[in-house]
Amino acid sequence: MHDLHIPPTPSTPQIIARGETGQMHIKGDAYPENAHDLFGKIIDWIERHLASASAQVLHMELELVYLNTSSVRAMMDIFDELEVAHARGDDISVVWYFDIANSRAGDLAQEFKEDYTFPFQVIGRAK
Amino acid sequence: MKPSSADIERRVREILDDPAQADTQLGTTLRDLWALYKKHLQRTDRIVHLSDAYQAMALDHQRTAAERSRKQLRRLGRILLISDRYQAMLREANARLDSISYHDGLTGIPNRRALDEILERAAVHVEEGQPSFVLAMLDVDYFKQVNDAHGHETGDRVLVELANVLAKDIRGHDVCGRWGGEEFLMILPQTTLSAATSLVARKAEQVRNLNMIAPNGQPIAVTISAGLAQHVVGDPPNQTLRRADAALYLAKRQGRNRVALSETPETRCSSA
Repeated sequence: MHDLHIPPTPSTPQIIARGETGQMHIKGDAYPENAHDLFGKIIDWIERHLASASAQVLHMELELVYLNTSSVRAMMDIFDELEVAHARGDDISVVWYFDIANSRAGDLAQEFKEDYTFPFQVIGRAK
Repeated sequence: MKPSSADIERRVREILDDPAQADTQLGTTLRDLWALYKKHLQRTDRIVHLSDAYQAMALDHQRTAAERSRKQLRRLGRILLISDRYQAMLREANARLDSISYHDGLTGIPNRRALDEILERAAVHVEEGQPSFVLAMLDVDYFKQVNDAHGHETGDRVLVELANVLAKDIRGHDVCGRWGGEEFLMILPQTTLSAATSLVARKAEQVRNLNMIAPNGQPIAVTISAGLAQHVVGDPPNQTLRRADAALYLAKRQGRNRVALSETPETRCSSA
């Protein structure tokens, strides 16, 4: 299973995913001009990863600060995908870290969490 | 009374079962007709069944479409809500940045960037016909000695105290900012040179009366020198700045702890 590594830019987050362990890490701000392009790659990777017979594990770590509207929508698409995988028995979890100095970022992560039944933690950390 | 279908069926069966009718024209014809009737019945049953299935499917489809659109609407609502909050967060961050970028980090008064913009605007207002403004360039005398004797932290504290005094109790549209290092700039709109002079003299007096104590218990006495220039209509703001600076230099040369004025072209003319 292949890895995914997209380096960060001023308007897009760093994305690192390891096929072997099923760990995915997204860190930074997300206001890409072409959200479809960026998140398309992430969703493709997730679909292929979860479809491969050996790996039905996906642990996602998020350190997202700012998301534009397209990115909010794309994250929901990703979570929907994970919800489906969780429903069919895959091992899915999401941890969303936020800077405790910016509690509103935590509120927003909670807002995302609301609709999903897979393990979804929102954790505040000191920067 | 109309015969029931069961009644008809029974009578047909009787004829078809009657060996006497087996080979008659009526018997064979009735047998063929009966078979055709049965086939049509079956066909009708299937059509009804299929039609029911289609109807159920269409209904189901409609229901899921409605359900889907409800879900989509709800989702869209959440996207908007979350996105709006992100936008609000960004706006707040922007406002914070904006405030930071126009204020001096140490003293909290306007910084050089802010002063530059205010000065440009003040010049425009004068071009538009408002009374002229006065620039006062202020500099702490022998500030290096404060730093050398008591350390930079104390030096910083002195600057904060000074900024408090200079920026306190000035008119609403007067501005006092930190120009850099130990230099402060006051922009005093709609003011004459003499009114500005008494304001700055009063400020210099307040600075002299500051009772600051160094960490080692020693009193710190500071004085300021100031150079004032009245803006001349048509001059670029930088020209007025240079004149205030030159007046400050004069005050320093004349022994510091004093206010010096830049000549305006009118006074130059009258003295000529």
